[in-house]
Amino acid sequence: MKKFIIQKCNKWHIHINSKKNSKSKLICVLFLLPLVFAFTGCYFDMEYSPYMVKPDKKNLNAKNIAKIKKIEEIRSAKDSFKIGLISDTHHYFSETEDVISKFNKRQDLDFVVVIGDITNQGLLKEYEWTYDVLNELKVPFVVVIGNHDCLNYGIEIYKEMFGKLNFTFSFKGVEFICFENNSWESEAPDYKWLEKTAAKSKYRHLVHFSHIPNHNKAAGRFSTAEVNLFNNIMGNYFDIAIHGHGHFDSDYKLVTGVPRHTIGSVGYDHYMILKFENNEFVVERF
Amino acid sequence: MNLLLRGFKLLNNLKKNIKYLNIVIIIFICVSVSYADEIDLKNKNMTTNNTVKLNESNYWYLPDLVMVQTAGYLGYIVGGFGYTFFNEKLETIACYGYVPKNIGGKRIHTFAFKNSFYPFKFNLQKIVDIFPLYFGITALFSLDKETYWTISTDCPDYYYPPTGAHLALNVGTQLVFKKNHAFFIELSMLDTYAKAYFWDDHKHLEFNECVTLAMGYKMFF
Repeated sequence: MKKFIIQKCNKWHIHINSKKNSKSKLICVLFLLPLVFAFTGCYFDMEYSPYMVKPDKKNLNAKNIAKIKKIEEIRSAKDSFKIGLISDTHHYFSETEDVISKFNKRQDLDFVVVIGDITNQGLLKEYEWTYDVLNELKVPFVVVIGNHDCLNYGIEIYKEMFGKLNFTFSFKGVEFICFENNSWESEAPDYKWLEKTAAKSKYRHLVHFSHIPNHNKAAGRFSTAEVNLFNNIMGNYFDIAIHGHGHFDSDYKLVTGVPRHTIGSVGYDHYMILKFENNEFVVERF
Repeated sequence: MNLLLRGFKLLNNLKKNIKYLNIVIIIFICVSVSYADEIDLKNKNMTTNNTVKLNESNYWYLPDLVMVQTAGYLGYIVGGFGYTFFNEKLETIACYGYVPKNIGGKRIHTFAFKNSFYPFKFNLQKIVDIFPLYFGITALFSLDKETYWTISTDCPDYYYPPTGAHLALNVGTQLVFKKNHAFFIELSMLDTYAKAYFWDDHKHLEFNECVTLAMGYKMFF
């Protein structure tokens, strides 16, 4: 085997010993070398590590929530609104672009919520790829963290790029509470924060967004006590809860009557429009 | 006690200036080449008064080369040693890479094994060896509290692939001067990015978004 490889490679090793042209060839090589370096350096990036946690964009959720507030001031006369909902974009960039172009054509959406899993392994490059696609939206968007987004140093990247894991914002008399409940990949979900935030809300209507459907044990992610606690909080305070993670659409109704929806992955062309009209929430599935 | 305090102050100063240390290391290695005595392990005859007659088989463990590199997923500054096989057509380098906090957002330590195959070679008047195209595969490991081989929570085993280990494919070009000093430039593609580009979505992603450049220097013994 060793002799075979050497014989094969010796055929490909060319020795140019002609004195006539070798000097000029050497000069050409030495002259071209910096050009090669310069050209490749201009076209390709130098990535020191896939585990870097220094995103260029920061505090995107806060910036977009400020834009949502401005939209609220502009459309103060109308009580109704529509928001777009997508989830589990992962590496489905083309499919996400298609859905975004549909959202942009509609012109009746006030903002969009992305309910988690915008990456596969929580790497900085993946976050940046997805952001480049989502940035094509003509309306502001907020992103909730998903379980895949927590892998590697994804939590640190998310905190720098988007902001707090648990956050809340309001629009036209409705409070949207975005909750991080990726129990295996992150710390235990902060149900105390969820209940406290919902309890002190001054708004009549509350909407819950979290990536993992929390109404059952979710294949062992949540204990019975956690499921009961979460269901009680939903029943006591919220009008509707929307999740991602499952990649396929599904609807649930708790015994307390709070509608629960799971959006399928945008990779399978799933998205939702949440309409608020006449003090009621209506869900349109696509 | 005073000596101890002075020692700690010196260490603190070094820590603050660590970002310049990598440049010093590169310059040191390049300059030291000019002054190092060459020990010809392959030639059994004595060539100068300073060379020692050595039996190559007793010193098989001594590396054939040392390498310094930047980027290529391995680190801001990467150093390593390696061995060549089959008349320098195959090369394996064990290396360690470091990314400082001000560059990467956190300190990142990476260990890697670079394996390269050099099928093509041009020689110019015994001064320069040009390897216009070489191929390689790198296995890199970065095990930290957030990366893992298998996730250490209630999550089922193999729910996720190992995040502390990756493979990268490399393609590069190398120039070797006087058989000792080599400069190389290579393109690498990480396995996660390769899957995204070739399998998940190649319509949206562009090739230059999924590869990285690496540049380095090698000194052969």
